[in-house]
Amino acid sequence: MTDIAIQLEGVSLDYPKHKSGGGLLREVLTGRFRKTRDEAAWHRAVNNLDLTVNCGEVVGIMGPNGSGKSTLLRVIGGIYAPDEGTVRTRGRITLLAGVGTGFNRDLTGRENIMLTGSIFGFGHKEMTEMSPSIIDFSGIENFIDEPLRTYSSGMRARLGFSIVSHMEPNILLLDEVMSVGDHDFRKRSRARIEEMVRGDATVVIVSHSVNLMRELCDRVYYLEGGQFKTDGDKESTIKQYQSDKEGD
Amino acid sequence: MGRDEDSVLELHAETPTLSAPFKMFQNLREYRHLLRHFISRDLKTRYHGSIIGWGWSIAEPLALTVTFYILFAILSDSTDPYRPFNILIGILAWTFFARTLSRGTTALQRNSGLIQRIYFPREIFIFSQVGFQLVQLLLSMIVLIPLLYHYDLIPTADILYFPLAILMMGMLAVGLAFFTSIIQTKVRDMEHIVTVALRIGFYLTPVFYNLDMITSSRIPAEYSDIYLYANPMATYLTMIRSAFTGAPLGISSSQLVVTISSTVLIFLLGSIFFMRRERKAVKNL
Repeated sequence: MTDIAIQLEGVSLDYPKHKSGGGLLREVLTGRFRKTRDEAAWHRAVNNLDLTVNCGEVVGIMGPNGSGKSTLLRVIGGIYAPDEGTVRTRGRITLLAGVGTGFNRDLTGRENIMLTGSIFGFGHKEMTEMSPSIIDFSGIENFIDEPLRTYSSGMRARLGFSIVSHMEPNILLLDEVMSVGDHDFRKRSRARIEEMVRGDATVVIVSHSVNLMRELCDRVYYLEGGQFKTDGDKESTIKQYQSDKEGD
Repeated sequence: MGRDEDSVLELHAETPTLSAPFKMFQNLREYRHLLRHFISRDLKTRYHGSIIGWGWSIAEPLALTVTFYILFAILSDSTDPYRPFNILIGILAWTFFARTLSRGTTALQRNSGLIQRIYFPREIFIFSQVGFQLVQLLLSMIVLIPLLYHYDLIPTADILYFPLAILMMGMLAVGLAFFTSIIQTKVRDMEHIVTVALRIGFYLTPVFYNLDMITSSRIPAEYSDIYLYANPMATYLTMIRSAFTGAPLGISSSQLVVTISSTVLIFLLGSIFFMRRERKAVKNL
């Protein structure tokens, strides 16, 4: 798979309908829920999906709420392992979704940069070289040596986006392109995303924005009930999305 | 470390069984820098904003030691020349075990933000707990040095019991946390069960008294055998005491072998359970 960045073969994923608290201890201990799929407790969020994305391609995924878009991104990102089928990805993956979490409140902004970097697999030296540019982009250099709990949520989001966007991923997974910070920062982050999308990275975007899809993507799929309803053709997918929306 | 451009990540529906422990150590080696980062993060934030800082990790054991020492002086007439030392090291070692298990139980839950953002082997969270607690233990053991000096205890070859016992305690705590952390993602009662069990264990294990108070008590000999098998911590704490004081273990070598093998078995079964269930469990976070 020299040119293939992402390959999904017959991938299915079950997701619990009720999160923690609803389960029986016995169920966990015996693993009963693994063998007999309890229809009441699990629903199939991604259903027997095949997808091949070549290196450098930009693929969009549209669909109604709850159609499995975000779950699919997490499957590609390796956060959820498939319950059936195989997922193969090549290179460093970054999932951009709801930035800001995963930080430590008691560490300073600078320390959080180092920590996040190490989670993404960067060494101490690489991160030391990278952090001035991260701090610069985030625009919060005055607060960078303060603990994170003193930050406003906007500052946290800016730092989060700035770190993640510097991780130079080979595969970039974008969930609902973010709108964080003030107008100026939104513009810069939008530009940065487009720069990444147009660069070498392989990108999968989940969004409701028709303009964004039309502008950036090579292929767009329509996802509903965990399955692709279109073959990836941009215009027909957008048409289906728009007609579905009107039908609501 | 981490993943570079050409590395291919392949995820299947199948989960490892017998290869699980090997896969785990492979992951640990690959992600050792991350492990180090998590440990230093915990060390940095543990006493953040407190004045005495590290002092707190010895203040509590010291206070408990004084309490139990006074209690024994009043209630018991048995003579242990090293009593303060034995109580203190018992409490420190038990704390290492108990904290690893209780913090390990909630490790996945506490780190759900990270888990849902990026993939890396989740067992790192459990291992970083044991690493963090080990550093804490070694730091707080500094207070033992004046006591060792006071009692004129010079380390002999017996000292080798110490790393062995610590290794076994760590394996036991991690092995159990492999089970409890997964169950905790689904059933939040687990942490409370662990807390209660550890509290009971504190009294039923020779933490602030010595093993001979159980083995040479009114309990018949065959029951004290069962006790030693059922509570591996009793053996490990006694090993640690003997390592420093040179007192005879009072545990037969066949008992030792059984206890150590059972701990290794718990660790291996735990690692298989964790590797097989972890991917289902993270969906509950």
